[in-house]
Amino acid sequence: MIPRFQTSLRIALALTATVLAHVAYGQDAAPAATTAPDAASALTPPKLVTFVDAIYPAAAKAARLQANVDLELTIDATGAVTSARVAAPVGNGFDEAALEAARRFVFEPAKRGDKAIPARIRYRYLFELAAEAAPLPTTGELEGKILSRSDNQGIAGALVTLSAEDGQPTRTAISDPSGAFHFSALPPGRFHVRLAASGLAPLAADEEVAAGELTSVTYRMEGAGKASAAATLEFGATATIEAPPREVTKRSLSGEELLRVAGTRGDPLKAIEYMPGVGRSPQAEFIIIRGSSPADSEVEFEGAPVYRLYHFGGLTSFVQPRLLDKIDLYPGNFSARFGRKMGGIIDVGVRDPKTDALHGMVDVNVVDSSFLFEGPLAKNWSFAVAAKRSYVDLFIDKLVPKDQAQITAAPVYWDYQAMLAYKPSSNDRFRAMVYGSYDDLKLILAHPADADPSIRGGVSSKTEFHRAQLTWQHKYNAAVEHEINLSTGPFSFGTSVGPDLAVQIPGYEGFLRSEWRARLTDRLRLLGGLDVSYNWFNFSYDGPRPTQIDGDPDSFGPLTGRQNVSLHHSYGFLRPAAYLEAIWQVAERLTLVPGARVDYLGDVDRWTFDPRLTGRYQLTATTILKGGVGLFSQAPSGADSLPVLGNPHLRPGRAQHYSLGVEQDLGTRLKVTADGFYKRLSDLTVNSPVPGENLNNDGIGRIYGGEVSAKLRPTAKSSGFVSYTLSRSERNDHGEGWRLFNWDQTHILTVAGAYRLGRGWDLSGTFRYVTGNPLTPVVGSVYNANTDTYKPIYGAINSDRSNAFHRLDLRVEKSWHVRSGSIAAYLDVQNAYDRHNEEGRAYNFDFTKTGVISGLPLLPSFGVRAEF
Amino acid sequence: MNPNTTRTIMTNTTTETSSSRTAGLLLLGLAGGILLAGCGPTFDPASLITTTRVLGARIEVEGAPERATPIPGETADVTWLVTSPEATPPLGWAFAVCMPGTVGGKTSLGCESAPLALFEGTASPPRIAISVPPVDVLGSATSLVLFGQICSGAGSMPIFDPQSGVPSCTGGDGTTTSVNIPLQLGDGANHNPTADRGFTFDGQTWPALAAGDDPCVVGPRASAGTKDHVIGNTTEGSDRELYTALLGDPPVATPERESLQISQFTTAGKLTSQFSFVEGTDDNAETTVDVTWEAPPTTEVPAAGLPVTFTFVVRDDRGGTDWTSRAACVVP
Repeated sequence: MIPRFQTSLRIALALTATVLAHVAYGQDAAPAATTAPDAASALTPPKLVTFVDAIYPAAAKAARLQANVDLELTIDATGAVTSARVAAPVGNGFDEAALEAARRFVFEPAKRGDKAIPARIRYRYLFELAAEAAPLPTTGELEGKILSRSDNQGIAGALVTLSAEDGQPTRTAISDPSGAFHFSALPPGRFHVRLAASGLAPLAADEEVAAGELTSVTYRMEGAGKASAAATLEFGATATIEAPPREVTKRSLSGEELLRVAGTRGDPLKAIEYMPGVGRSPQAEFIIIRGSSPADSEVEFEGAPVYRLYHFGGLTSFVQPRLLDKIDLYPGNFSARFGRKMGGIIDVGVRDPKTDALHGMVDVNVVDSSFLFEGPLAKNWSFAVAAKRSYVDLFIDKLVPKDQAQITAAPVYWDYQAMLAYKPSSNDRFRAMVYGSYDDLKLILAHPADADPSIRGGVSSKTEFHRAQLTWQHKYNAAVEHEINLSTGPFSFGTSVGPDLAVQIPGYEGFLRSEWRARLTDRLRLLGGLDVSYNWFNFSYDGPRPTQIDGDPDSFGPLTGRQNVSLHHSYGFLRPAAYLEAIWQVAERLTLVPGARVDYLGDVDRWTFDPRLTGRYQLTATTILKGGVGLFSQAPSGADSLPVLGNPHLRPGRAQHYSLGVEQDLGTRLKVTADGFYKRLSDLTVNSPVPGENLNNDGIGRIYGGEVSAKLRPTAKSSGFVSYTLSRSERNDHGEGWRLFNWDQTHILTVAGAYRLGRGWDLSGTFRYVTGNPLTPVVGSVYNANTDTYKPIYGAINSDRSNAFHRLDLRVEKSWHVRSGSIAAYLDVQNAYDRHNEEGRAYNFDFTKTGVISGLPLLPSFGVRAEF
Repeated sequence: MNPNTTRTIMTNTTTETSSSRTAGLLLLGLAGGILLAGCGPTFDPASLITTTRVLGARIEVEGAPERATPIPGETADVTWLVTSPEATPPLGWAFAVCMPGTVGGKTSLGCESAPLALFEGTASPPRIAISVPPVDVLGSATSLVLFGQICSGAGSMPIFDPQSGVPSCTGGDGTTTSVNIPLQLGDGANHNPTADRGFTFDGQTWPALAAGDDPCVVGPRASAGTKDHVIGNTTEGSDRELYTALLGDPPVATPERESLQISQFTTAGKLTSQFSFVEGTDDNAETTVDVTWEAPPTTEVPAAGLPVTFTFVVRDDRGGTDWTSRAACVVP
């Protein structure tokens, strides 16, 4: 409650009487006494009997001025004021007002003994304004405390932005050292509060302010106890859809965790490989989720699929890490929002630009350099621009032996992102973004490759895509909101290898998502929308007919001796989809999420219907049981549905997902999860044994296993997680019997941790153990006299296995605060104990000898980063 | 590519069936292979002859040996080139000729149907006379496959696993071999190229030795351990015939010119590459292809000198083959 203050004129009297030592005004001067006074001569000062209010000077009152006026009053024996003067003028009319009033004072005269005597006294007249009587209040106040979630300490310097629903100007405040902030004179109503602090996940909330009331709130921000310039990534670990979480299993890594994963050179997208349930491939861009083919999973970037997440097959990701807002992995039983895939989904999002001030970052390391600038542009507008470019091209020619190859266009990659955000009110949010990526490599081999003479002459690879994206989020009211996301842009893929392989695929693609989210009741929410994709491309292919890779060890064999085909045609196909999902809190502890999705796959002219159901049961305050079942459909990949190369009559692949799990909080920092999963696959695209039919749908598969993970909630000091997956992934082509899938990895163990030592030192490490991938042994070979090459004779498909992979990565970073920014130097060491992991098997020309190809040895990467 | 790592099969370096991804990954693997050449095992290069090796097969139409494409009803002689570091050991071989077949939708190098004929012998080099069936027997086949096993070592003969059909040898080493014999079904005949149009060694004319000549007496000489010896191989444009192929989408009759693939082998030292090419786009009447050879080290060269044999096998795009050899001497 706000205390009510009355404002009125209140004059406080303070009487200071100085009894004069001698008599004035005709009193006979008494001879100085030389003896002690007796009761008959006792002196009594004058006593004010009648007080007169002074007229408060109008100008001083309007100006809320107050004053003390010292007066010298002469009082006769009758008690009347015969003379008054100002001893020390104060001005502003106070002197005159005090004199006028004091002259009308009436005193009880001073006495010496019983005899009244005149006296002269000092009198202080006080002019003070009292609280005015207030009218009924029309405004309220909002005060709050911002605390760290980890240690409940106040967060200083946090920017608090207050936005009214009625379009009133946004107000801002900065939290004080205790984390407190205050807004006064707020019109009553609903306000949208946003908190932003360096190194912490932004927070948003809606608060109600009532007239005449003080609203007190407490917010807890996650990430750091103290704002740190070194921890600059701001993003949270939450899904874009409101809580409660709807997915059976969702793995998220926060900004703190992702930036600090050793072995990734500070690239959060490279940390995907370390997420629970994700397998390992020598090529990082092949993401293997719970035994699924890389082609069965998808990375969605701001609502649109991305086909090349990394430059040059895994070197570095295509987006500026510090723009990332979330990386959510759905290893199975994902929402009906996502479709056209049977494996898993990785949902990557970027944040809006910062609005508190202009910020920048420059990073220089041994491979590439990048920058990021962002900040406010105008009222309600903000921008961000980032770019990265490699400079491997500057020294690659010194690495490649000249007797092996001549680099004609050194490998180079670059990427860019630029965005504009406009938030005119708490109900609307607009964002326009352009981004793109480019990879290029050309070289001329000095000699044809041994054992594969088709690999000769010039080889090249070029990949680029560019997109423009518009996003609009609109809140109709507290219960209904709508989001539209449109992405479109050109792409181009091109590869050539000698005279026998040339591929060019320039094209254009577009993605539209229109999604409605409505809270019907406190227990029921609906989510529904349209998800449309369109592709047009000019397909030019001359080379060997590609085959399905899984289960066919010949698929990556030599080009020489293969039957070449040609296809030059333009294609365009539309894939619209509609989905609906309900988040239904059936009972206090039980939430069910039924959903369904309908897709039309224009490339194969097929409809699919995918019903899904997940559920979560809050067994105790710290234990959640969860489960899910669902159908998932997937169109044939890439060129599989094209004529000549594939089969236009292919059906979509299908998968059934089943999962059960439990989440258990142990204390405030530790969360343990355990999940069991089973996937049944059907209508898989496989090589056809029928002459004239390249591919058919005679493949089935099964994937089953369990995951256990334990995760420490990140604090200012530390973060970490441990995960272990035990699984089996098998396929059966044409009823030939079950065999291991190409990417079956029985054991996947990941241990990651990061610790802030203090004084700007940051240490992190990651250890990974992964079972080796299945291999098909070579049991002999056949000499092809037409090509002078040997063709291997294979044993049972995937009946052998490569050696297990394990590796330790370490990262150390030291940062210094410099004025309003920071500088950091980091060393990222991959393969710290120089393990010679098997990345492949090499054979001699006639397959009579074999040996292991090792992966990268100990690889240090040094860089420097400056931020403000 | 490091010539000592002649084949790489990367574990699960597989991708979507999108052709661009396949090709792109091949390129990445290739580029990575170049950069990581020191991270893999080291093998003897394929161009170094250290054991008895099969290096090619030449098809000659009986009565017209320059022609490599028999007409149905004709007889074609197939001669296999088998070489060794020193004298070729006794051979035992067996072959089957059959219609071409497919396995898993892909063209097979073996016999997937009942053989049309079987051959067995010990002659060195192996030479087989094949009677090409008439058109009514061939049906839609446009070629024949000759598949078999060549075993080296006295008394070693091929045997075939009754279950897998994979051949092997009773004793010693052997090579499973296959050659596809294109048939001439219309007007377009293919002719064998000529391998010996002239060679140079370090710029000097390099003739073939007469039978019985000692290369360390009459052949070119190189000191042990010396590098960058240039072997020049002259080819003629007439060896790269013009023909018409159905290419493109939709397929259209397209004039094409053969390219020449030259396989190069040596019994000692190191050649920079097993293969050289004269591409079909080369319109020159004469093209010289160079390959560099490094002499073996002193430790491998006896005091009297080390004779070194070089074998060159020339292939066109359409089944025509020829070969020749040269000899040199490495001195300490």
